[in-house]
Amino acid sequence: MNCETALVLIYDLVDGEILPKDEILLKEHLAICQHCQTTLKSIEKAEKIYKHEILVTPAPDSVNTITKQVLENKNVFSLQSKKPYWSTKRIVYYLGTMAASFAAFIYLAGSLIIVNLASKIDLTSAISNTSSSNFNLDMSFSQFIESDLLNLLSTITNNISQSTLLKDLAIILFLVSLQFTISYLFTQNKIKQDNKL
Amino acid sequence: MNEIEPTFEAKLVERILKGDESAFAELVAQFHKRIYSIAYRMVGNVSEAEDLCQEIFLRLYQKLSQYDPNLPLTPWICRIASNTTINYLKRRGIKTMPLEIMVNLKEKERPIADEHATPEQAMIVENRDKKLQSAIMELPENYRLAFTLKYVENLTSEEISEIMNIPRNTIKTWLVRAREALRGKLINEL
Repeated sequence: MNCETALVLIYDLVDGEILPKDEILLKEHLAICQHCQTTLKSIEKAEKIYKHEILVTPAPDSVNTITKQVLENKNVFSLQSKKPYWSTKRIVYYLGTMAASFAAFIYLAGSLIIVNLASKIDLTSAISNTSSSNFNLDMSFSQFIESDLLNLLSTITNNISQSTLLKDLAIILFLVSLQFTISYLFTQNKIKQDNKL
Repeated sequence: MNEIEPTFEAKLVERILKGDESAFAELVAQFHKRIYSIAYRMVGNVSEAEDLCQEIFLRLYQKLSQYDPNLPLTPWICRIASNTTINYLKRRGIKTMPLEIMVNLKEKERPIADEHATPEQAMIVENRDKKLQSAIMELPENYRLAFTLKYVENLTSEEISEIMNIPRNTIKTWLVRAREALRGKLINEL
């Protein structure tokens, strides 16, 4: 056993937490190590100081002062009354998380739907069909909206089958419910952390 | 650690919950010296220790309805004291008090180390206490709390581990390091 290991065991010994087998090893080491014998004596003296001097006597009137001050606040910090579930803090956390997760899910859902639509619709042909027939450079913006863009949108809409719409709706509903669940769990966790002593 | 029996503790808490103010005064009187000692050793000056002590008792009062009467009260109070102290130190934002503040404490701000000591003994104890407190304040907060809980409440490393919610071996390591650091500072007193 080296002196470094012995030091840890010396502290175990003075704390009364040493294992019997370690105590035997330590005593064997102490029998031959003057340095650790001196350390043990020094630690024992230090222990006496800690135990004797760690407690500090407060001012004589402080018990009454503390009791009075705490009890004066009992209307504010009532023991029996339960706080309402929907506190301002909870609402703020909930709305904040909802907003953040809603933004994230809109982005995610949007990406999913666009990818889904792109795979179902032949956008190139839809654009070429509408543009080739009506579009020219002299056309005003409003005319373009009325003719080509509306044609393009109607072509896209016609290409979406009913089953695709239901699938997208299901994805959105799933994501929204997931968002509510995450918001709820986050809020619960945050409130719990705040209330932790 | 075991000054009052669990049944008495449970009855005391029950009386407080029913609105008996004298029961709360009894509870404060029972734990005040130890709570104050933890607070003082953690923050290092009387005025802050009094504030922290009051905050711990306020927390205690607020949380009494959550106390399980089947469990001993002291570890539960220690956990509240420990968490409140950690939160207080986080809020305060100063990890350790500068040594010069400790050394220059006014006489009236120093805690009373021993009520029955002679003036000479009191001076020796006071000087040693100053050195001890300065050394404690130089410890990291987690070492300081583990050390303070151990000696104020006479707890084992297992009990400290449960109170601080830290693995026992970590607590043991912290305690060894803390005490070695203190022994190094107090070497002339040993």
